[in-house]
Amino acid sequence: MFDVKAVRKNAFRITKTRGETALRIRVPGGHLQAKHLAVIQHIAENFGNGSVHITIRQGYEIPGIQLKDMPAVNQAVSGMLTAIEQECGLTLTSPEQGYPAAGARNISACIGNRVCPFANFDTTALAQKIEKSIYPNDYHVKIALTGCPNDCIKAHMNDIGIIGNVIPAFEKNRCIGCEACVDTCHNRVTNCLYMEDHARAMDESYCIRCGECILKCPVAALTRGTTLYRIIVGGRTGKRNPRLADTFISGADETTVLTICKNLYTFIGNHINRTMDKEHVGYIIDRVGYDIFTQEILEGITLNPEAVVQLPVNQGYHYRIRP
Amino acid sequence: MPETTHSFNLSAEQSTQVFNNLSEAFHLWAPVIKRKGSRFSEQDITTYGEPASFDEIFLSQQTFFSPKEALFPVRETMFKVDGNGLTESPYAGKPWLLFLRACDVHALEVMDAHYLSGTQPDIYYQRRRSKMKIVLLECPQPFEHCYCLSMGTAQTDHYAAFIRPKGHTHEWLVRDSQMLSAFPFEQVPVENPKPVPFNHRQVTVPEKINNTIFNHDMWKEYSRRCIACGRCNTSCPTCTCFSIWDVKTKAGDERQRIWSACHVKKFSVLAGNHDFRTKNGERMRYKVLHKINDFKKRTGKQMCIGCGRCDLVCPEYISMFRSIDKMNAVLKESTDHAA
Repeated sequence: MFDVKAVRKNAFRITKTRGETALRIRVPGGHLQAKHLAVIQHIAENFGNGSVHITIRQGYEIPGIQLKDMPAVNQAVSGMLTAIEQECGLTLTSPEQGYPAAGARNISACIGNRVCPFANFDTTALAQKIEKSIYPNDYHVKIALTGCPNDCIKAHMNDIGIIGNVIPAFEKNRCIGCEACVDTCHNRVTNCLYMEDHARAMDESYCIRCGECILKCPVAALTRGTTLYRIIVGGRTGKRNPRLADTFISGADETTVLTICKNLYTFIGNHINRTMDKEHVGYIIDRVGYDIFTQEILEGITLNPEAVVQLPVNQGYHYRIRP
Repeated sequence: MPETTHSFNLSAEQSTQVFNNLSEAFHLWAPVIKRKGSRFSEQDITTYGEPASFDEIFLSQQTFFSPKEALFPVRETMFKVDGNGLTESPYAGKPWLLFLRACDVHALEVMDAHYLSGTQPDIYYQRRRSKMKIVLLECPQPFEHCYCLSMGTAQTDHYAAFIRPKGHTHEWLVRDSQMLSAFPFEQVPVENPKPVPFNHRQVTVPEKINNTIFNHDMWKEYSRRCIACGRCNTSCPTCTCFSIWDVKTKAGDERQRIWSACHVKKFSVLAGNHDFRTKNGERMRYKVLHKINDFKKRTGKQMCIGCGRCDLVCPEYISMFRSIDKMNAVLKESTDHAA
């Protein structure tokens, strides 16, 4: 009666209650025009059970919808869907049929520099650009963006995490030697700063480009240099080998970020084990190996001079598997 | 007004021509917007800087930092030392032309009192100050935090020229004969500079500060709130404290004087690491009483010029203005009690 695979691809869930589904609303970058909440309310109250679940990936899930109502719900959602994707620069071919894919999970982002002083970039804006380059897509991939290494969005738990970095620009002849930057780096970051000649000095090899020192400088001796991104890969939860993502490229520019997200889907297409119900990308990387992963994911990219590719080493932990 | 005042009403093109003429003779220092210059990402900052063109001079917002760097560089070399002895740092270059609001002109006078009064004027300050001219800016509207009318700093007669935006044109007054050649234009009558019509804030500075104020619990609030970042000091147009350091540079060893600030750590550290002002509330008290009481006792002039930059820049939303109000309340309470 219902094509379960088509239902799922349409962003509806197969639930434990027979005949009942739940619709997942994408909110790329986790930021939404408030007017869309009225649409979510309308669907929840007219087709669902009047409640809404806020998902971990910053989307909405509207439960209690009857599977038979899917066409009507798709009609109801199409205006909002069109508007949200258009904000990402994406025009969907048939929005009246609802979501064209559900594999590519909602791209989440911390609140970013629209609000947060620590953020080194506009996380929502870059999330929307990524959305444009990867959606719709059926492979199950999780991407998250975070404004600074505090990683409030937990990008470390995603297949690809984008962490905002900034290279501090330092003008020694404006430094008053107040030690505010040195203290904050010592107390909160990597202690890469120290005092020399009554001015801030730096051991660059320890700097993680978080921008904390810039925020603390009361004289603007430290200002913002180039904005770059650290790309971490391979983060996941799950029932076999959970692990935090690890650095793959540090100092990447925006073009590199966008291309890598796109290339990941090509890599999956090249290597996914189609005999399995679903093979998660992290396990594909593990199976294929980082050499091939690196080669394919960097396809067509001319790395910017600051970018450094490195081998992710975090193995996470394995549940005991019976031999 | 001296009789030699010349007045003009100039189009944007004409003002640009004036700007270009002045740039040849002067180093210009004016409110500008530094794109993405804020400590926060992708955010602009309005501050003092060198405008590259006339339309870069930005008059509608208060500057984050004051103009004081023009006279008082953050790190200034006093002399260099090598095998042959000491060489005093040279100072050359064009004279500076400062675009200042009336309050900041008063701040300059406070700096003069710091550095030029007494028997021995400070040569590092004097050699910059003596080559400096002022273009006065008018404030048609007050900024959010300023209280110049309360501090008597809304007007000044100390300027070489004056500029007032008027629709698409700019009115200029020129008093300095050396600047006049930059204005090859027909004269028209221009109204004299006017003070800001009102402030959003008014305050009465207490005349007598006594031990009731000094010892009062009101300062404890600032120990809790102040994070001792030093922004109130670095943005203040009348904070002029410095420390002297001998440092190595690429050019050799030299003695520098470097900005110091009563709100940052180690300001009050003495020999033997004795620090007599460790609490942030004590630092606040020291600063506020210096600005509105101690300096006036010595010079007859208020040190605080009421620009409100310390309010504007404080990340903890601490207000110098409110602290003055709180002192008034304390004094009133103690007088009422005595009566």
